[in-house]
Formats: sequence, structure tokens, C-alpha cells
Amino acid sequence: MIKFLNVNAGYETKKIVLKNFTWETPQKGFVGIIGPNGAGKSTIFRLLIRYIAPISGEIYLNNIDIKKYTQENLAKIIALLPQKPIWEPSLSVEEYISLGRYPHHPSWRPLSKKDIIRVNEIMILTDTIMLKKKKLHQLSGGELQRVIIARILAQDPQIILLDEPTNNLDPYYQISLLDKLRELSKEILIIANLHDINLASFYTDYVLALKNGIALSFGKTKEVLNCNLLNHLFNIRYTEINYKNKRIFLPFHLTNQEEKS
Amino acid sequence: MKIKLFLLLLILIFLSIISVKIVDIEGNNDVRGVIIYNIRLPRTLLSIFVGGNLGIAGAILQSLFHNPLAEPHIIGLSSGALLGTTIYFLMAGSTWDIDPLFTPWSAILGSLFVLFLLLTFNQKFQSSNTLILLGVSLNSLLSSFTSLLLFLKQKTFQGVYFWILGGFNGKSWNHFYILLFYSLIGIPWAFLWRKKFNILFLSEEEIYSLGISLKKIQPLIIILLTFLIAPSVAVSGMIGFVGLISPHLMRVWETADYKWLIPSSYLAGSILLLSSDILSRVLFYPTEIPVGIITSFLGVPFFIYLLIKRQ
Repeated sequence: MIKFLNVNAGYETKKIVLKNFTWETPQKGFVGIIGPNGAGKSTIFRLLIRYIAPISGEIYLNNIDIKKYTQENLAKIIALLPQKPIWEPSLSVEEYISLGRYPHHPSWRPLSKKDIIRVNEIMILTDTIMLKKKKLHQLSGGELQRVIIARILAQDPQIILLDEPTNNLDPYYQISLLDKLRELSKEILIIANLHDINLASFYTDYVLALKNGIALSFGKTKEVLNCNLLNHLFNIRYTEINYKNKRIFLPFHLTNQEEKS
Repeated sequence: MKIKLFLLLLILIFLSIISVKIVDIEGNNDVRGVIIYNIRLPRTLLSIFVGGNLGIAGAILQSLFHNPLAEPHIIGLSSGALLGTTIYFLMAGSTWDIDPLFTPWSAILGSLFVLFLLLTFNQKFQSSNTLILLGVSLNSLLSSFTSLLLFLKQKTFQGVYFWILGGFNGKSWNHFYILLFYSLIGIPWAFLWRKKFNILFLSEEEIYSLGISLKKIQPLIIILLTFLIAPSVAVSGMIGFVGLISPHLMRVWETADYKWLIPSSYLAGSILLLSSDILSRVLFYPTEIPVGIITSFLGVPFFIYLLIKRQ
């Protein structure tokens, strides 16, 4: 679905973040990206929404160069949940979710009936219909998370990118969000940056391990994710525990300290 | 939503009638007709359009900078336009007659300059309050520069000074036509783009991911904003806080969706400025005070209230 070919990318302050990055995603499923801070996880997303352009290399979406899409057509396919979303607190839930319809209709016209029906369906699907008339500033943290996800779904994307979606959520909302994403990943492609290795182990179908802008490995979570890889990624030694067919990874001791002692 | 807009429109019409008719005019019917047609009517229309333009300009700035405190006067755009116009007045040989082409464009260039500076710096700063601080400093820097120019050319001082204070006293149809020209571009444009402003309030990454290329659209929004703000400043001087108060009240009254905010801020801005203008005429009758003073008296406490509420 998405193909990166020898992509180099970076910013003004840090010239090269992704180095000669080549990667092909599956058609659908739940992909977790793991790696230390500054490994280039967010950069992958920023390239895909064309927030930044690669310095060299090509990115293909459905076999068409991503540069050839208009920004609006790109938005019909790819939706993004950034690390720090900003919203206008006086907007009602319904109005906020309707923003997701933006790429689907001419922006100078009022929303069409079809769009309004779609927004309504999404609100039922995401359990936000009873919040419809509430203002965003009246919502609790968990409700807000659901409403933001609803806005992304209203975009009807084939690919959803999530930049550390479980940050700042308590365990209940983390799990319910990931359950929902897993459900969605049967139909579409979900790519999420995850800091929590165990959530990645429990929920993802595929894992991409990234360090210093280089893809260390990519494959089925069951095959790729192991203590060796984690040790390599984070410089911490891990232990694997098997519990009811699930694999739990526990970190202990910094590798270097271990060696010294 | 429609009922509320209709209500605002009714209030505006009612105020317009008061503005044209208030304080009985002495003399026969001919004199009254001339005064109403040549003085009061253009003055009333000017207040309506300046107030409205500043109202939607404030609403748009708040989306562009993700900051409910952004306002043409506070962040220095009006001062930029003011400096531009002052330079024009001095170069035109110390007159303060308005020129249909050069006066608005010198104001437009002035505010373009400030807006460009703000956007460049805004990307470098993370906190949204920095923008306000930066705007305030630019504001006082540009005002001082204007004062310096006037000080060096004292002959023009009084005329330009009254114009700076902001008011509609002695303004004619000429002033209105200049403003109307830019308003007829700016107002429909702002309305057609109402949905874009909703998206622009989100974070930059979200803006791109919803199908708007910020890099491409930003220069156009800058042009739209200067078309709304600069001609208003050129014809009526420094009138602050209308762009802060009206969108904010409208947000609280109904919603922050720009499909409501654009038309309602326009009407609210018109109502606010027209009633301030009426006040400026009757408060110390028969002496008139500049309307900019009244809007500042209303606006500064409001601004402080918003600052406290945001903490």
C-alpha cells in the first residue's frame, strides 16, 4: 500500500533523520513502530501527510508517487492523529467530528446530506452520539479521545497514522482505544508509534523497529519481536515471559552497567 | 443560528436609524437633507463596514494563530497599517486627504510587513502567549516610529493625530467607497473560506492531514487579512479591540464554528462600532470624542478578563 524507496529526510535543525529508508507496508492490519526517541518515527508520518518533503528517494501510495496526489486527495486516503492535537474548545462535538468530512466535499458549500448522515453513523459507531451537542471543553479526557478518533474516522481513510496514541491515557482508555484500533485494522491499515513494548506485543500484527533513522527489522510481530531486538533498540536487557499465549517483555539493568559489574 | 443572525441584523438596522436621525438638526428641510445624506449616512455606513471588517479579521487571526487573544490592534497589524499611512500622508506633502489608490495600499504594505514578521517568529516560538508579547512590542515600536515621524513634521501633527485616534468625524462618501471596494473582495472571500478557518485552528500536522497545504494557503490568508484590516485603518485610524470582543462574544453565544463566526462576528463588530460611534457623539455633546477611545475603554478590561480566564 505504502512504499518507501531509499528515502532520506530531515529538518532544518537536524538534517538527516531517516537514512536510506526503504519499507513496504501490508495492505491492511495493525502495524506498530517501535524505537527510541528521535529514531524517526514521527518523521515517517510527516512524510506521508506531506508536512515535510523527502530530501531524496520516493514514496509511493497505491503505486502512485505521493507527490502526484493533491493534498485533498491524499487526505481522503490517509488520516493522522498527531502527538499533540489542538482543538477549539468552544466547538461542539458534532461540529468537530464534521471537520473530518473536509476533504470529501467542496469547502465553500454547506455539508451535504450524505456527509451529515456519515457523521451521524460515525458518532453511533464511536459511542459519541450522546455527546453530540456538548462543547469540547465540557468533555472528560476519555470522551475527548473518543471524539478525536471519531473525527479521524469521519475522514473515511484507508490508512490511519497514530503518533503515540496511548500517551497521557489511563490504562482503561489505552486498552479500549487499542481494542477499537484492532477492530478497525481488519478493514484498513493502521500504523501507530508505540512506546509501550507490551501493548505492541499484544495488539499489533506487524512491527517495524527503527533506530537512528534506519529500519532494523520489519515483519510479523510474533516473528520479529524478541529480546535480542529490544536489547539492540533500547540498550536495555529484556526478559520474555509467556502467559496464555501472550508474550510479555520486562526490561532490567542497563546493558552497559551489567557488563561493568 | 439563523434566528440569532436575524436578531443581530435587526439590532444593526435599528442602530443605523438612530445613528442617522439622532440629535435633531436645526435648519430647514434642505439643510437637514444635506447633512443626513452627505455626513450622517456615509459615517454610519463607514462604522458598519469598519466594525464588520475588523470583527471577521479578528476571528480569522484567532484561527491562524490558534490564539483567542489575537486581534488586529493587539498584535500590531493596525500599527503597521497606521505607520504605512502616516508615511504616505507625509510624502504626499503633509496633507491628510485620502487618495483612493495610495492611501489604502500604503496601509496594506504596512500591515503586510508586520504580519510577515509575526508569522516568521510564530513558527520559532512554541507558547501561544509569546505571540501576544511579540505583537505588543511590535505595536509600541511602530507607534513610536509613527510618533517620531510626526514629531519631525510638526505641521501635519494635529490632522494626523486626530486621524490616528480613530473616528468617523468629517468622513465622506470618498472614504466609504475606498473601504467598500476592499470589503467587496474581503467579505465574500472570508465567507467562502469559512470551513478552512475551522481546520486552520487545528495543529499544523492536522491541517495537512485534512487536506490543506498550509504553505500554499498562508500567503493568501495574509492578503485576505490585510484587505480587511488595512483599508479600515486607512479610512478611520486606530480602532482597537473590535476584532477581539465581537468574535469572542459570538463564540460564547453560539459556537466557534466559522460558518457561524464569520457572519455573526461581522454583524457584532458593526453593532459594537456603530454604537460606540453614537456614544462618541452624544457623550460630551456637542463635543465629539474619537471613537477609538471608546472601544479601548471597552476593550482593555475585556482583554484583561480573557487573560485571567485563560490562566
